[in-house]
Amino acid sequence: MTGKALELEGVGRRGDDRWLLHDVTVRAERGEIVHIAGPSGSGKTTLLRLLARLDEAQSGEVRILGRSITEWPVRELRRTVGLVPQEPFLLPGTVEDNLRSAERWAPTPRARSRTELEAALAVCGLEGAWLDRVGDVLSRGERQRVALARTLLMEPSILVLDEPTSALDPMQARQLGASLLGWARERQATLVQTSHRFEEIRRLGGSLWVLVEGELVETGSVPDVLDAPRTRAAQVFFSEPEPEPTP
Amino acid sequence: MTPPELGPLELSGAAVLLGATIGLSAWQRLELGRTILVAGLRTTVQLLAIGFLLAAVFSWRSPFAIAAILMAMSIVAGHAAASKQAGVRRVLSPWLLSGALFSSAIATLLYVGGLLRLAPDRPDLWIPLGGFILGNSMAASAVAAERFLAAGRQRRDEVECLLSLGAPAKEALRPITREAFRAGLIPRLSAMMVMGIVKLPGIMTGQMLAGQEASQAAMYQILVMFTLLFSDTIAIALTMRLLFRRVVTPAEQLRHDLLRGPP
Repeated sequence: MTGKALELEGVGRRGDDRWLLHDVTVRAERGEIVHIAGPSGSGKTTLLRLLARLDEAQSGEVRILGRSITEWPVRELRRTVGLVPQEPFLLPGTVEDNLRSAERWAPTPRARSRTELEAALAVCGLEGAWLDRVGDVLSRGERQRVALARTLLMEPSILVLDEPTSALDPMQARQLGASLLGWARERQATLVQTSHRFEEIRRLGGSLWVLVEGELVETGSVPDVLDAPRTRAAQVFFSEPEPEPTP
Repeated sequence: MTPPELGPLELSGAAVLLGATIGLSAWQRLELGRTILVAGLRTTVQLLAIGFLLAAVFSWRSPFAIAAILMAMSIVAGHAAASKQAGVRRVLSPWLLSGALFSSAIATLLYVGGLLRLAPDRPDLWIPLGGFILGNSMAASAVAAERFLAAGRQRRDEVECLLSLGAPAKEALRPITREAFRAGLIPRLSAMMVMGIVKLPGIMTGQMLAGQEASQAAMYQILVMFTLLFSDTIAIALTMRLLFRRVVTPAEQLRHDLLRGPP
């Protein structure tokens, strides 16, 4: 397939009384790392949901790998755009059961070896012994990482993460960020993630999109946007303190 | 044994029981006298009216007339089921629900009618049986529909997580459909578990009062219970299908606007 990883042209989606996302036009190359930042309610999650077509854009067009999102068979699209929500759901059973569930809906399912499952867990900072643990007893941060490993096993071309480090301490967040970067580079996968941690964004590099009240107010390379935001809305946002992780 | 025919004298005797209940309520200061009186009057007027109405309806000895009456009853049942649960009416047209109830009642009736070799021109048999089936499946599908929407709201994240893994919507919503199905069927299954042990069911009691032998009455009751379980299941399955098509878009997205709670 040709074309850019993501292309949004004048994309919008309305809520009850306002635009959740309004007239967003932006692109991401294959293999690019994209951070999406913005205050709560600015449309970050809405944008991620549109990429996995969990919601429909009400205006404009979303293109994934050069193809309009509406032309993709929706299940194939969702396995190409691997979305991990901020509050992931684990199926009943062990971590291994959860990781294997990623194969269940693959177009050509193949049984993964335990080594492959362990490798996916390792990217997310968890050891192989975790495979036998039961999902119910895990903390939020642990559940998030298991859900992430499950999505990695789908081998998506575009990995879309909603606040993947929100329940981790700064050290864990740093390790996960570096590890995901390696995973994405190795596969030429595009990584799109929302984050509140500016320090982490700076360390990982790539591009930064800033959303404020549903409008895309800044796009550019991470240092450019972080060091010299052009719009007042972005300047105000960057001047606010970073939120604490929620365990 | 033929049961004694009831006339004004026997009904007056029954009214004495109502009067005694009002007296007991006054003695216990329940402040229910007026309500009991109104309930008693309504029961009398409504049942006598339906008795006369049915006598007229039963004279139309045509299968088409039977079908038309059952359809009218389904429409009333569909609207009653939709309005019983606040959230359901907003999502599902009562007319669609009526269609589901009518279809399940007709499918069940045709089978049971064939089994009992009921003549097609006997509205006095088809209509009470149809009404009985409709009344029961109306309650079951209303409960199931409400549970489907409530579970859809509560388990939205779970469904969308499965959709994100490439699961077909039908599979992603299966736990919700299962939960709704169970909610709709469990009252019937629980009743069947204790059938004849805790109390004698109404139909069996009625048949024995009407002179039927106990063993025959028991067999009728078995037939009735299996019939109701089947018609409940068909009605719930059709209702689930209608709801599924409403809350899931062709692109396998959940309609959050419809899953929201009642305002």
